[in-house]
Amino acid sequence: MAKQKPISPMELERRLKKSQIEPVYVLAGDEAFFRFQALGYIREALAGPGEEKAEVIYFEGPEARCEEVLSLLRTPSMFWARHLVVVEKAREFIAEHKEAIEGYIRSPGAGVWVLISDTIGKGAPGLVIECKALYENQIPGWIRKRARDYGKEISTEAAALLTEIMGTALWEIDQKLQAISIYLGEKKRVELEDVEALLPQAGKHRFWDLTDAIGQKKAERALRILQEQLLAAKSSQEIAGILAGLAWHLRRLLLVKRALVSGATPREIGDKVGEKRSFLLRRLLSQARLFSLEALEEKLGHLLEADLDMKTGLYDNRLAFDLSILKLCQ
Amino acid sequence: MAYQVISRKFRPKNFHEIVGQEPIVTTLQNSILTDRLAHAYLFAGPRGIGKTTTARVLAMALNCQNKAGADSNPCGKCDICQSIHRGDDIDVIEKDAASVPFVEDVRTLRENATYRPMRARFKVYIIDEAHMLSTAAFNAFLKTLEEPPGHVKFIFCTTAPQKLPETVRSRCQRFDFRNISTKDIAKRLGQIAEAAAPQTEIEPQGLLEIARRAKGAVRDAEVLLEQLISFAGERITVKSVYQVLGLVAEERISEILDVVAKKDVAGTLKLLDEIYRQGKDPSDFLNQVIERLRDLLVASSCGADSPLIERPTDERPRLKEDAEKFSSDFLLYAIRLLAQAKREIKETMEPRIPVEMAFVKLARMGDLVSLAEAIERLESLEATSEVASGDFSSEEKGLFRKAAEESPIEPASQETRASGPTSAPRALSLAEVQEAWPQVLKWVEREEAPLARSLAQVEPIVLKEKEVLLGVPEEAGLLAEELRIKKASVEEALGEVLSAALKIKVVKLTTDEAISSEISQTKEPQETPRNEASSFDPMIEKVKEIFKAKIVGEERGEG
Repeated sequence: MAKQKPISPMELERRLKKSQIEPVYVLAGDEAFFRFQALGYIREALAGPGEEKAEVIYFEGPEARCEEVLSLLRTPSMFWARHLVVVEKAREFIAEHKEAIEGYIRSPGAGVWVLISDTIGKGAPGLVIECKALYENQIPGWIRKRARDYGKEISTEAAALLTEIMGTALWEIDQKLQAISIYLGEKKRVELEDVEALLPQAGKHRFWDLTDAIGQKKAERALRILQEQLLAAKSSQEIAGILAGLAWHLRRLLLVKRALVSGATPREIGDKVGEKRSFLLRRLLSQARLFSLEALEEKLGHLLEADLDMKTGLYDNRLAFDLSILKLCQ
Repeated sequence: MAYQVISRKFRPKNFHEIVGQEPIVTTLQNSILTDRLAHAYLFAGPRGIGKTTTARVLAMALNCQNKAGADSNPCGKCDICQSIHRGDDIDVIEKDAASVPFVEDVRTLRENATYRPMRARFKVYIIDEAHMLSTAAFNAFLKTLEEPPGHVKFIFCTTAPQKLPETVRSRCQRFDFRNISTKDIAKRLGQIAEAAAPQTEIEPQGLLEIARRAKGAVRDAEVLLEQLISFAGERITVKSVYQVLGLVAEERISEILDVVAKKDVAGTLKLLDEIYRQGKDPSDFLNQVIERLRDLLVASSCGADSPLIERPTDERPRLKEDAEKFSSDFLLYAIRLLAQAKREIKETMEPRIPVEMAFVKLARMGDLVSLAEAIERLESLEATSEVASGDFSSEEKGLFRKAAEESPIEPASQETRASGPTSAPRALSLAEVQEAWPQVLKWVEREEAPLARSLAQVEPIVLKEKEVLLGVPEEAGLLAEELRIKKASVEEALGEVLSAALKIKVVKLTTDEAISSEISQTKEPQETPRNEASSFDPMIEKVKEIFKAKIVGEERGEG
């Protein structure tokens, strides 16, 4: 029997829907969410009448005895349609019992065998489902797909914001998407404000708005944005993070401004500040035009002073922020 | 029935009563309506803002016998709702993780979870302070969390979600609770007060004041309200709120700002004395003044009607009036000065001194303003980089700049110029300082006679740039410590007499070596050539300025 190429969890779902069930699956990769998802597809496919999902018998790789697992797999189940046996942390187990696994593939019993491992060596027996972690640039696309699974469309900005805040933690992103889709009710499209409503940390991206308000000397608007951020902050660490984030943003603007003054092209400026996303670079360029070089330098100085005032306990957090925003808007 | 405190008695019984967490409440209601319930929830947020309460309401909504209506609200009346509300329902198990930190307890809990609920639809486990569970306990939970029996729901409440293992966090639907706005808290307090003490009349401003003091935590506000209801009887006014909270009446704060604006030093000290005699806490008082100055600052930038000022409407005209008396730069400077005084209170045996000193300085600010000419000189010196600019906070610089631009006050007489405080440093010799020392003592004596007596035992021994080293005899015991505490007064006196911004450093006259070492430490670093990094980044320049640092090397990281 020819060795099958590794497939993705999505491909697995497609095949299972066509009732193409294999005797042995190897879920390999470091993304726990994909492993859990793939196992979920298998369980749904093996569910008996009236069951939502097939029951699972779990073994831990280092303690599992191959004969016991094989015996279970070959025994018809008393209670369920068939046995689904999962061996977790199975890297060494696979290497050690490769022949027995291949034997089961050649002559399978009623049960289905799933082996789960972060990594596997070459030539692992069974159908390998690749559960590799995604790169950051793949996350927004994955978010859009997951949102569709929940019956929603998501705006580019909202997907970018979720990626920015939650990074590559797929499981947590998925939980959040699920919550957002419930929050929206009948509404079909996830917008930026929906993400903000359930993700107070989203205030972080409001540095753009905050900086706009500062650049336009709109103190009231700047203070309101800040107030929302402070209401959402859970700890003094998070509050300090707001200040650090604003300083980081202004510092980038300063770099952009300097580059603009020296006649650099937008591409060169993008390289200098490490911003490849054109929509963000455009925004940086237009925001930098709100300030003079001297003003940006002075404002960074104010922020450092506010940081010092907070850390030395001269002002409480809110007062330090209010004063620095009022100074920045002067 | 035994007496119940307000925060327990009026704990929300349905989703409508939960304050300031609308998106979370909507999501939970929708999830019940559409039957899209997560098997584990994580409620994160600061203390006192409704995490555990929301968990209980959710448990009630899931199990209510009079099936929740179109808004999925629990009825609050059935047996189950009431027993959950009381915290003694057999199927809703509330555990404080601080008391079940051991893995065995969690194992028992996990095993019990497999049994169906006794009478409700769901068995709900509310784990409060979830971050207190040990890693082993969390591991014991993990499998159950991945796939709990259909009849089980877990709700973890925590103030520190980052302390939960990622594996647990990722398996829960997480909701981050926000701090609650003052307005929302005041509204809720109004509802509670009406129900708890219908015979008591409460001024809305009083409620707003209580809400402000609670700083985002409803529970704290409820505790304060309870104190007030017990104290004030039939009528709760702003005045009674101030009384119970030990605060100075707002009119008093206005009065003191009035006398400061009039540069009436005697009047300022008199008012401070009255406040002090009333037994008010100086630190709380300074907080109140700082809050008022912050509001004035916001009023002058955003208008007195701004919602960013949490004050009742009838106070706004007064706020507007007060805001017009002071420039923004003055207000910024005053806030800094008072905050510094607040800090000094902790370090001194006599807390009224830093308070008085700060207010006297503020009342004398007019003298500083009249020195616009001197400041122009300072600015021109700064421009030629001959003088370090780091000796002034940005508030001071702003104030001086403004003064130079506006020159609102008549030019001071020659005499005032010579004797008034100035921040423009001039080249001085040690001999000049030593010669002027008796005058410094006299100046100090006018304000603080005991300090002057102490200063008579010391002498200026070294002058390096803008720092004067004061030698204290070894046998003088606590004198050095006293002078360190009163440093600001001595520096002020030096400034007054010598018309120069001088700092002091107190050293014990022990051995020659000790003094030599102190002297060597005060040496200014050699001028280093401005390298690319330092000229590149204003933050670096500012760091150098604040820490009196120099760049010894440069390493660039990624990005």
